[in-house]
Amino acid sequence: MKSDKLAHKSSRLFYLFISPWIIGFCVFTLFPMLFSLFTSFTNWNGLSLPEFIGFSNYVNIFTVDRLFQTSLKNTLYYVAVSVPLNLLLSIVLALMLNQRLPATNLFRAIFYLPTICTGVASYITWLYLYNPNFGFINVLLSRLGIQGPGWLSDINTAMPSLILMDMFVCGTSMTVVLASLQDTPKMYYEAANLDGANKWQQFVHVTFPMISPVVFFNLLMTLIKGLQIFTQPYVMTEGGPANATYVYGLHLYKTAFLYTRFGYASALAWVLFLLLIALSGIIFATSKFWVFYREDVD
Amino acid sequence: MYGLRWGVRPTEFYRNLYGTPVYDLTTNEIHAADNEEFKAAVSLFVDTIKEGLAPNETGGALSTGGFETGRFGMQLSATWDIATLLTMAESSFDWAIVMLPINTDFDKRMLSTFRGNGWCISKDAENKDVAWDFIKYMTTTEEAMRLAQAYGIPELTSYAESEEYLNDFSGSTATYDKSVFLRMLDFTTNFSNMGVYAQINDVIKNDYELVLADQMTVDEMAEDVQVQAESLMAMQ
Repeated sequence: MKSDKLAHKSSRLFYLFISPWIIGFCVFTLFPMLFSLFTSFTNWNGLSLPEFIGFSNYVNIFTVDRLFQTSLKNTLYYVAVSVPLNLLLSIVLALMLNQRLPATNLFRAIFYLPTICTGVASYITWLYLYNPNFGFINVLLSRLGIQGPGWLSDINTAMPSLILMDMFVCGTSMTVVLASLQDTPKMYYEAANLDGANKWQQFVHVTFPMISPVVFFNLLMTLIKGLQIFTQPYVMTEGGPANATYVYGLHLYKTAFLYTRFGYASALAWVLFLLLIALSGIIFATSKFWVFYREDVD
Repeated sequence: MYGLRWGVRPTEFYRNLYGTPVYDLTTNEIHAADNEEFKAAVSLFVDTIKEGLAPNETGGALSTGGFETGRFGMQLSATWDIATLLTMAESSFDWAIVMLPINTDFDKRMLSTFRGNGWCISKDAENKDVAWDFIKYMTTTEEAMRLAQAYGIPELTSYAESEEYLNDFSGSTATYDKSVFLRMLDFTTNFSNMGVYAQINDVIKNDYELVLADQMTVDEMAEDVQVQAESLMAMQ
């Protein structure tokens, strides 16, 4: 009886402490998701009452909407290039910073700084840097005798410019990989040395397996972030030039708030959500082939 | 150095630069493929940019400022640019404001876009009388007009045409012909950027940028806008 009372009191305390999160989740996440699911089956324009139209929005997305195809293609292009580059760069930087060299801490701070200085202000700064006529980058290139590209004003270089800009913000990924590197037991490297493994073999057979869990985490996070890219093209290019940087997030935003088609935008949001779930599922399913956890290795 | 700066206005101005709009806001008719004025407007902006007379400001390229530092010989400016010019240029060099030019092919003056700020009272407002008094104060008193001129033309016509307003340059040593803005009121066009019109504007902008990139001709652009805009209208 006494233990029942204690258990009951414990569970009351549990619900009491978790209630702020539960309430917040329900109000700010679950309810909006359910509401958007409902409106995705309507032609709601945000002003008049929604009218049920069944699956019409979803059918139109895949059969009529040319901008859906353009935005999805651009977004997948962005993800396909920026995610591997981001992962690679974070691993390379972490490996370099893991060396016991002078000023390592200073470089660690320098590489992490762009991550905390991100946002609209930094994107505006990048606009000035990328200016094809007066920007610092092209001025510097011209001093070296190189004709700088059009960057954001050229259809061919606009998306690569956004991807390049994103490379500067790999501080979080780098820090997580660095932490994992420093947690790797030295005895594995000693054992590999004894077996005659060179640096590359040590990386492939010791380092990468040990950091694979955080690489898996970074892969998921950068994939999710990449598929939802919005702020950079919205601030810097408005999707141009000629829809070269017209990403899915921008299409969703414009459909809702500019074209006042909230029902259709809700359907777009759910399509993106399902795409995210599918890609995440694929990554999870394939992780068993390349992600090793310490308890499995030990 | 450029001859002139269009800024980000081409994508607004070509919709109705000479009086025949690409789409009619009242009838929802699309006039792109057969609209010579529209094609001429697009060609004007495209040709001046391609020939290096004006910078290409698509894709986020910025050309902020510049007229007061001599980077541009002319710029397409608005009433809200004047305060900056009065502060930065003052009398350091001779400058003036003139009306938009006349296209001799159509014998029509270029139209400017027109914007206005509006006041409204919610039907559920508790103090409607007070709100109405405030609106009357902001729109009919000279005191409010003096504040409003910082960003636009005063609503009160009697004040806008008065010697006091026409000779008030906010303490700057520079002067300019303020009546130009008043005379341009007869050559303005409104525009919409919501709903289906926002979609059509985006279609036109995308095709305009393709023309700038030599991936489309002006005639192809007009045809494509006609087809796509009619399709969007039909879906409404």
